[in-house]
Amino acid sequence: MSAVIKLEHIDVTFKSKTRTVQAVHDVSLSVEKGEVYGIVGYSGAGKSTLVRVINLLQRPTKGQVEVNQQDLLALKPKALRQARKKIGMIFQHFNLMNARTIADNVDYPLKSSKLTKAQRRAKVAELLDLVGLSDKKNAYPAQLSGGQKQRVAIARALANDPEILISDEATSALDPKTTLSILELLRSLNQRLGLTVVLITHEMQAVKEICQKVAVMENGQIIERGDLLHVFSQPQKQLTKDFINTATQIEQALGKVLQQPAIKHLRSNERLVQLSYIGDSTDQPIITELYKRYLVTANILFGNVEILQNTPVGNLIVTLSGTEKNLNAATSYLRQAQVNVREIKVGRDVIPLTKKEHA
Amino acid sequence: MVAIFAHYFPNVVGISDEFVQSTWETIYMVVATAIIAGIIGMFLGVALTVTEPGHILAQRTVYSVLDKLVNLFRSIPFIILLAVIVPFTRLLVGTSIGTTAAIVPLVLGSAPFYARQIQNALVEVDPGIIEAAESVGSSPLEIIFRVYLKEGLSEIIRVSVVTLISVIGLTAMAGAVGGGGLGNLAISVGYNRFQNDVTFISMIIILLMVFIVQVVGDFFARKTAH
Ligand SMILES: Nc1ncnc2c1ncn2[C@@H]1O[C@H](COP(=O)(O)OP(=O)(O)OP(=O)(O)O)[C@@H](O)[C@H]1O
Ligand SMILES: [Mg+2]
Repeated sequence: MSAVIKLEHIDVTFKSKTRTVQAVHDVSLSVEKGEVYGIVGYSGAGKSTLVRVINLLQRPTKGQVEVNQQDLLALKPKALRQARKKIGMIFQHFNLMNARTIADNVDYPLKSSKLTKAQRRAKVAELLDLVGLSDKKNAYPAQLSGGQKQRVAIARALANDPEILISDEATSALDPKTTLSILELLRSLNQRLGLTVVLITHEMQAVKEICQKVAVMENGQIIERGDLLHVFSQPQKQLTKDFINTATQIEQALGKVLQQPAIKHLRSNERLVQLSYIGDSTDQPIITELYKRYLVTANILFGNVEILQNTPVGNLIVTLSGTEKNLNAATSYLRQAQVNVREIKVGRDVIPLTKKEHA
Repeated sequence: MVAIFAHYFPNVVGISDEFVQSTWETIYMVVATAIIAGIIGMFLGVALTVTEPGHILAQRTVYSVLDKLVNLFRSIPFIILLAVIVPFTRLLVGTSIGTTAAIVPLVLGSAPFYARQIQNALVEVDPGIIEAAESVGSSPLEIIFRVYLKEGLSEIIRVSVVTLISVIGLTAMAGAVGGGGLGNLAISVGYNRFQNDVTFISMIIILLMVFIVQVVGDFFARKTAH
């Protein structure tokens, strides 16, 4: 495996008369061929600035940019434009040309290519077919829905057969269903064409859907990164946890659970716990085992199981009831089975729900 | 019909040939100015747009010089420009009176105005679209011709109509100080000889021109907006 995108120690500083903003601060990022790499972060974290460095729409103040084994910063303008053709980009607001038809929009990048008119027409037809919009070729962007516009933008981005596709919040203006269909399209492009995808978003949901790797950005820096499964199951930073929570809704559920009278007045032989696990643990009938072995009954109050890259990642909120001794034994059994057990002390250990609101 | 016209506009009938000629002179001045000032203004407008800091050919000094120049020329009242420019006009066309001579101040008066209008039209083009074009490897020249001028076309037509109408107005003023055309007719005959009907009909013809430009312009502006 070789890195198709290699950013090293990137700094981007915006200077104006009144203030300086360091949008990106010493970020190194390496994306392997064929990967779908997610970058999440709240607004202003520097995500757009960072990815615009990949095709040098934004020149870094400091650092190295290597794409497709080429040092982009060393290229002359003409060579740089040539290199850009191999880096497709799609945007939150689609950025289609309103005065051109759908077919013309897709044809636009081919205008400066060596293809003949007939070859271009065939290529456009093929691309529109790929994104499922052949019937709209003579329509204008204003006549399309958001999802359709983004499909056109994807077709346009792919016109020069790029190896990399950068998606800057491409689904942020779309409804959940359309978002899924666009992500689905990106996934299939990744699998069928071996396209490397860099996906920027503020929705963990989107990352969860298609990314293999993820980086979390805050204040111009990557604060956490790694395999999706790893980051998702063992987030280190609070921000990462917040993001994951927006996808799993576990904290919100916990808040509601804690409001219930039965939980507020937990009996002495009951414990409220959160069980989290990845992968294998789910194959064993854990809950049944608990009763069989320790006579501990589990009452599931909330459950969420995500399938990330074909691996289940589960979160359950349950009350376990049994004798003190058995509860302890059951807990160690769970831990042995690679289940993360977190006891929630009712009344004291209430999880604050407002943590991410001010971020 | 003719009798009624002759009754209400006695002086006009007598100089109908002059009316035809003056109308042609006005059309000549408008068209010539439109072409020359159109080219200069378009070039300056595009230059202003792309050299502005943050745009595709950002050149702070070039932008600020152009910007100030355009502002300067736009600040000179046209009637004074007409007078100030006389020596230059003589140098350029050999005379300072007549329709051809009038074209010099007309161009100087309208090109900066048009440049600013074009700039205003082009800044309307979504920067996101420009960015998308850059991301597929378009060169600055390609972006100017294939994106700015294409995406801004409808707006360009709209501001061209505004400029053309203002040029028609300026020709009347130039005409009054020796440029010929309908403005000249309205002042030198209609006003000076108290032949109000001549002034009135001159005005009607000018209004008619404005009306035609407006209608045709609107039609194309609407046709090119998507
Ligand atoms: N051209 C610019 N000039 C000055 N400051 C800028 C410029 N572009 C971005 N910034 C600043 O850099 C910081 C990072 O912006 P950036 O657009 O990269 O954030 P982001 O993570 O993409 O946010 P969002 O989710 O809102 O798109 C912000 O503080 C922003 O104000
Ligand atoms: Mg952004």
